[in-house]
Amino acid sequence: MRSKDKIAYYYDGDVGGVYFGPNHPMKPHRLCMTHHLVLSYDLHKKMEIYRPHKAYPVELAQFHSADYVEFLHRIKPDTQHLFSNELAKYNLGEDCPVFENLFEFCQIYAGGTIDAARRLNNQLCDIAINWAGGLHHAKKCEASGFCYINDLVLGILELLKHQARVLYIDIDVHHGDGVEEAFYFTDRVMTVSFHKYGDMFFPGTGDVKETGEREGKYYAINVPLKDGIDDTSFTRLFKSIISKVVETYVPGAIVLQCGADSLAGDRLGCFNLSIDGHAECVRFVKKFNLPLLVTGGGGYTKENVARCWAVETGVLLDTELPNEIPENEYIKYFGPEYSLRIPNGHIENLNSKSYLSTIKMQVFENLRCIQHAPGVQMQEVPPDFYIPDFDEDEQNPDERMDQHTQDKHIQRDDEYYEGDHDNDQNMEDV
Amino acid sequence: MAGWSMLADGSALDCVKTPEKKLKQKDFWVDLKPGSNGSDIQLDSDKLRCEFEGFLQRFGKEICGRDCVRPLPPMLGDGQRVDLLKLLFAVRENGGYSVVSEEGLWDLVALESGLLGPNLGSTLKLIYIKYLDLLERWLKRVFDDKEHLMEFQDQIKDFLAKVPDQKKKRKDEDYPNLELEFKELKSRADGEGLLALDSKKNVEKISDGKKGVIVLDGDVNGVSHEDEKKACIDLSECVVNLQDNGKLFDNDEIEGVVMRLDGGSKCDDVVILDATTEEEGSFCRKRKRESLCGLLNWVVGVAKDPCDPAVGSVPEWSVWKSHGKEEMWKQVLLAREAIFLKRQVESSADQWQKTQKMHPCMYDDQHGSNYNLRERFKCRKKLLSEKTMSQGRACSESSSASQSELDKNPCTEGMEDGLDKHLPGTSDTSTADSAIDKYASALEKYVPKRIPYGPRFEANVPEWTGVASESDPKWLGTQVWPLEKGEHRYLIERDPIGKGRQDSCGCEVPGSIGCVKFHIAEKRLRVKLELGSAFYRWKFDRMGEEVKISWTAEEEKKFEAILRSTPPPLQKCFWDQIFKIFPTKSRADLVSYYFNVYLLQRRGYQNRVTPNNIDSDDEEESGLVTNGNGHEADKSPYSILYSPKKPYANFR
Repeated sequence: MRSKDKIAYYYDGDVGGVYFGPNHPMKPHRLCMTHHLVLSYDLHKKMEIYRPHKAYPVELAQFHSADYVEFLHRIKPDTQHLFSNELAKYNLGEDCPVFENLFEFCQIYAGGTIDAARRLNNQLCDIAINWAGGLHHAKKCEASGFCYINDLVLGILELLKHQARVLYIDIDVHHGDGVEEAFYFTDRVMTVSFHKYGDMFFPGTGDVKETGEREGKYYAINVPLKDGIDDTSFTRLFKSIISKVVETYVPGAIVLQCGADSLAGDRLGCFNLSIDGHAECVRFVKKFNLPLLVTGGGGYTKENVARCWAVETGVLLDTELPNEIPENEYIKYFGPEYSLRIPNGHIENLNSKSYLSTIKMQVFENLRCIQHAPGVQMQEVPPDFYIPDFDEDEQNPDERMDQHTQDKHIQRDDEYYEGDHDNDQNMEDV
Repeated sequence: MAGWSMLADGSALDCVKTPEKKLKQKDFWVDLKPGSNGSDIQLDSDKLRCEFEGFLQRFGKEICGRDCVRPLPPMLGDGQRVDLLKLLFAVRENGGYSVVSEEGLWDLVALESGLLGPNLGSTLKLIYIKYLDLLERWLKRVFDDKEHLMEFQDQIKDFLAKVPDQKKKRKDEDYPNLELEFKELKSRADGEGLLALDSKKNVEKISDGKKGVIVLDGDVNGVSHEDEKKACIDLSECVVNLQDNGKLFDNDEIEGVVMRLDGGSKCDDVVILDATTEEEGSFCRKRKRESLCGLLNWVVGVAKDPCDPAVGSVPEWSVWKSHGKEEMWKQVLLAREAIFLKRQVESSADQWQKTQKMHPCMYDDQHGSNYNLRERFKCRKKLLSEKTMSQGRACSESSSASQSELDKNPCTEGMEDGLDKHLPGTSDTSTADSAIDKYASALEKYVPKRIPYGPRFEANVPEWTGVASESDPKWLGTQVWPLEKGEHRYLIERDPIGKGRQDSCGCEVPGSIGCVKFHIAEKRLRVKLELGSAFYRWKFDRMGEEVKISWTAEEEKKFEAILRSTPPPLQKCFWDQIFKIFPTKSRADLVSYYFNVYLLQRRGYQNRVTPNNIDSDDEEESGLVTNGNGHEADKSPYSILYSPKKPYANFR
């Protein structure tokens, strides 16, 4: 495994001062804390740090409708009462308030993701990080779920200028609906989202059966999960699905949305992931050695967000961070332990082993449908990459190509699950 | 079929109201006249009976939707046919249903309608309730109040006026396909493709469909944006059904086999067979008509007359296995089994089928059933619109035809094929009717989310040409770190990268406030020297507790006093108040002070004093529930702030 990846990290000092308003869970100040933490661990010495350009309205309109971008540009908190129709039309107001510097904020985080994509395109770096980006709910013509401009879609569109296929992976606790919707009908982007689904959880989409349409059929993957999923089951599921996806789809680049609201103790989320579990997904994706664009996303318990993204920056730099947080301006936010570890969640894990394996089988079944129907120029040889073995004892890479054997392995997976033995008996009956 | 008697209660009648009004249109009077005057004129009695039955069938369709379509003529257990017209008049002569029932005249009525046999009274009563009671009620109402008609026309006019209005709005919004449907609708209404069967009727239906929307959405119509959207969805669904309906009428395909669906979940043999009938019907029509016709005929026979000796008897459940395929009932059971299995994805890989023990939605906790909630709601919704439209089509027909239109969501393949859609029909007609209101309100909330398509949603992804297109290399960001060459850099000491905090220090009292302060300041100075210009470009000079340097002690006290005086949940006015008190400070300065100084100091205090009860800002706990103005509860169900089952309090 190479370790001398060139990392580009995007940060703008203005972003920390953005304020969504009292009681709003989205606090861009978390980005400031993340940056301080990254610097306090001296991680800046291993990477290049850039200030993104402010994306021009015309760049934002590469995806968004011009009228919407124009409205975002124009609207100000003190005049918003004059535009109630437009506010409703563009879904601004409750979840997505109009605040001071709104447009500038959008320009910065979108500019960061676009710049990151361009830098990857020009092979000026191997991995690009923009923790300010990852606002995956924004739609073409409206805001949604704290997201105004969908920087991920803009970044992917940029990557598509150089890559035949881009893989988008989303580990935010919410479904990456904006990105999925934007690329629902194309096979040039495969979207894979792991998220909480059900109980009216926002945004309400992301059933396992939503798989894409027309040319995009089977190119949208949803992994709906229930409350309280823990590290072990999440990373196991993540690894098996993602390795299969990469093997099948052979993307030219990967975009990874690392929403930190899937961590235990998040103000809005309901998963039980530890920072290690979350970062393990990042580590796994990094191992493919494909051009990688990493963004932030949700995350509403801000000290945990800062911890998580600092650790993940370390992971991308192949640097293990010691648990004791070094002194920095914001160290008080990390008390009383002043450590990177976060307390375990105590939400009951409602994801039974059999539920997870059913979901996995369903996803694999859909993946199998594209295996023999390659989309965009599958014959084009992508850059070398490396499929890591994530569980040697479970899966031998030599056997992987054999579908039947693969299935047997999957079945074998289930045997590890307690209380699921009746499964096997049924097998014999059939 | 006990539910039928419940038609007597008001809720059921409410639902009937709409079509009832419509029946006053010309078309039906034409049919009705021979019926009501027929007793005087000596027409050929058979012909009269047929005409009456035809009328009744249509009447049933219009009034009750599909569930009312019953086989005609009705037969008694012993195979006698009941002349409904005779029955109707016999009852009327005896003073109507209630009088006959109260005075126990049903046996007499049986005699008068020309039926022979003992104890036919109760059977006849049942038949009357099923076939004629509704007609009697309707007739009564028609004569009771004529003003209904006027009212109805006005409503239609109102709605028609609204329609173009909505259409205009839609143009700017997200229902491009709705317009299309309107156009189709119009062209249909203009008479294109309408065969013999009354174009007028179709037009009526259309207006009725629109009316249906009003009824469905109640007073909601036009009130708010959100609701309007929904109304439009409903409307488009109705339209789809409508067209579907039109087609079927053209084909003049009349189908009498609609039995009471009982889901087939109980072990009552007859009930199970009934359920199968329905499924078979749709299945047969769609695929192999010939091969299943014998089977279907048998099922129809059973449905018409379960006691017919030709039908034979179905043995006990326990001995089913020992019977061969030549038995009709066995075939039916097999077919049913096949249909159940059919629902699974037709997978090429056998392995998959074996391993697929359960569909994931079985784990949906809202329902103990193995059917997807969203699908079910979708179906109920459809049922709803069908009912309001009072169209007499079997659910399977219309749903399969309209599903593709309705369902922009691709997930219909495989899993919920067939059976799920029938499920809503399991409830009895009348109970379903009375429950409609409940569903309607539930549906408002549970409208399934769909992935919309069209230029308003998709990104424009160009075809891959194989050649990387030019991307603007101009904007790649401005390098801030590493510093440009030439800038003077200090390296204080060479620590390994990624070093953690040191546990021990040389301070007099390690861990004391003074010690922490010292180390932070030390680190800050070091970072400042090391970062050089980057320190300022990242605005580090305006972060951390340093921010308070520009604040006087008095200002700080004031700030704190305000925050203390507004207990959490913080109200919006808290900032207004602060802006008023600090007119010289910019908004950004105040917010910066709040995060960098106030909250940080507060947290520092909590770390020391109450380490078990920490929240990093005032807003955390209560803020979520009320969001300042306390209107969180009114939010649309899909707000990102809505996080069920989340213990907000104290996640440390």
